[in-house]
Amino acid sequence: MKIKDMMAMSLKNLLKRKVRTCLTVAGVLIGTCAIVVMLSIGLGLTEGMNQSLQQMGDITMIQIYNYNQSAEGTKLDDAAIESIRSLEHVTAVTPIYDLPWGACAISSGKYRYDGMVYGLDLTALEKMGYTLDDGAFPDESQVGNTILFSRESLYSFYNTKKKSNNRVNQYPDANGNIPDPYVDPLSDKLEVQVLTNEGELYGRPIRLQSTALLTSDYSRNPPTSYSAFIDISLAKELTEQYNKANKVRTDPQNKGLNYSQAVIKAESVEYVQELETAIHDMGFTDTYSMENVRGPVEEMMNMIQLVLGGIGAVSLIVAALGIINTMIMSIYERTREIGVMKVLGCVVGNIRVMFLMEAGMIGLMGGLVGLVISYAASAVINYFASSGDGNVLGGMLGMMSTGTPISVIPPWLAAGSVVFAVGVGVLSGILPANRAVKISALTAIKQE
Amino acid sequence: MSLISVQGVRKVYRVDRERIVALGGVSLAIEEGEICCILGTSGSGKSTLLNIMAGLEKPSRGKIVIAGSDVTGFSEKQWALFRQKNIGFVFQSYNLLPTLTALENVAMPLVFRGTGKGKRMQEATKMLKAVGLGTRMSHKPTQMSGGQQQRVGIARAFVSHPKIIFADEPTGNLDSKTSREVMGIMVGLARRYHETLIVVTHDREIARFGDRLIEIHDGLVRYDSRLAPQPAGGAANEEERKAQA
Repeated sequence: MKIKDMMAMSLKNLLKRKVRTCLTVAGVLIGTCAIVVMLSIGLGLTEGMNQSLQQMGDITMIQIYNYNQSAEGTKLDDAAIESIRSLEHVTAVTPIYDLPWGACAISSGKYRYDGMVYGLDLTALEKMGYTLDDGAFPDESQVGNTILFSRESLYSFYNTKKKSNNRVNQYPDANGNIPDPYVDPLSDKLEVQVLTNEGELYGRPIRLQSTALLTSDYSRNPPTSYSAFIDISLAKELTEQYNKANKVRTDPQNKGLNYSQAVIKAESVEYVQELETAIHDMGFTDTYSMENVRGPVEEMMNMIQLVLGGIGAVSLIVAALGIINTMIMSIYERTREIGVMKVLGCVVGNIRVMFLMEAGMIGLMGGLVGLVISYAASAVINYFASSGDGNVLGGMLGMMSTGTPISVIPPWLAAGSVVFAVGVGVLSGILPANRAVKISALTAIKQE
Repeated sequence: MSLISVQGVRKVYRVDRERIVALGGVSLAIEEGEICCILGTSGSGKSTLLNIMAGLEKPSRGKIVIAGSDVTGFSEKQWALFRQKNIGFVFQSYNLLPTLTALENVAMPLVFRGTGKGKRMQEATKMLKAVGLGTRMSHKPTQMSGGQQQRVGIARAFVSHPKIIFADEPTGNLDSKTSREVMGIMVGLARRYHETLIVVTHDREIARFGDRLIEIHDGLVRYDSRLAPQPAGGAANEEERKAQA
């Protein structure tokens, strides 16, 4: 028997008993809706939670601190950075080098910068997730003499010719306008020069350029809002000059820099835990990531999802019982018909497949319609959750994730729910199909 | 060699502690193309014999050989496939599927065989026309009279051109005029396609349509005789033969 013919017969039998089929489909539909909506709320909560964590700091970042390093401990030097870079699932890594406070003067004409300066791997900035307000990230040939500011950190330039009132305030003036800072790094001339302990300029000034303006961001480490970034190579050069100017003796055995911090960005959240452990194993035990916050939160979210999904599953189990009942009723009514089919040469396997198909079709219809209704329900929930904070539901569920939807139906959930509904249908069909198969061909001959 | 060979078939039912002998050792040989009527009263064992020959029941003892193959030990699936190819069936209560049209009902055995839709419909149309229902092809069974339904049933039995057609009391639910019509059609088709027809009936009138008459009584063959081809007035002929026997 051809599959097409079997499907046609199953469909015909379903359509023959429209009311009963519709009621059974409605059961599956409610079950599917319950599962999809419940899971979508769970997913929405998780997503909202991740987003609020993201606001607290990038959840894929791992910080390494190296402040209280013992003599025999592992050094956080270039070699260590390279071995971290070679770990799997590392998107980017950069050391952070703090230049001694007041070690150098960054100036543009009569204006001088007195904010923080960090030495970083400037080529890694983009991968680390820093964003720009203007310009472009420097390429490898440019990093050696590049300095990057954010608009906020530009307010750290002051006028060296004035004794007082020598700064631009970044607060709105009487007319509500925020005044521009003194310097526009993208067009103005910039240079850096090392300072001696007495505050005298030392050596030849190095010309600097700014290829971009960083977006101000407090949540990143190092933050862009009150600091300027230079490349590690420039930081090393300036340190050497500073040491020379101030006659600081360095250990000839230990020429490379020993960094106070490093930042690692993982490919995605799920690798953070694994990477942090690997870094601990390398000897850097003082690390920080959002993982210790995110881990327990995720566990809680998984629990919530399990409970919500369980509530949905109960209604689908009830629907499965409905399918079994409908199918058994239908087989009871069609006993004679099944007997006739057997006498006419229908193979037992085909009868089984036809009944499984019938049950599967109930599941499919319920799943598809249920999915459509779930999307509608999800939209309604999100609408009420986002409209006004006086709303109870929105206040209750959306408290930690304002602005993000409460109910999210990703494609895998949509596809999965339909497949699941069909699966439940077919599974419910097994018992009735076995009954149908056992019907004797003799029933066709017997007279009522 | 005979088409159907029934060798010493016994069938015993057990009801509670009681043993009921339905067939007490029947041996028969039915030739290809024969139109054979099995006559018996209710409870004589005639239906049991038909069921055993069609594979719907298993004999307690004995052997059935059809077209050279021993079918006694066939599994349910083997029987289903065997019936697909070799056996057509006409029921007393027509047993048409109520959701299907006349045409679809006739095409049903071809569906089970896996024949394509176009071919199926063509064959079924041809057969419905042959039983005189060319104008009622898209009617549902409930919209037809008993005689018409039985003609659909006959078309269904013949549509796949099986070697053997079993008919179990095919006129049991019909009046005598329609019965004769239906028997005429069935016998006509069997002769036209040179197919073997085995009709079980309790009606002596109906039994006269065949080439051969087998009477069963209390589970045993009591009378078995080939009738002369008889266009009309066969009853007298038969009486004669019986007297001779």
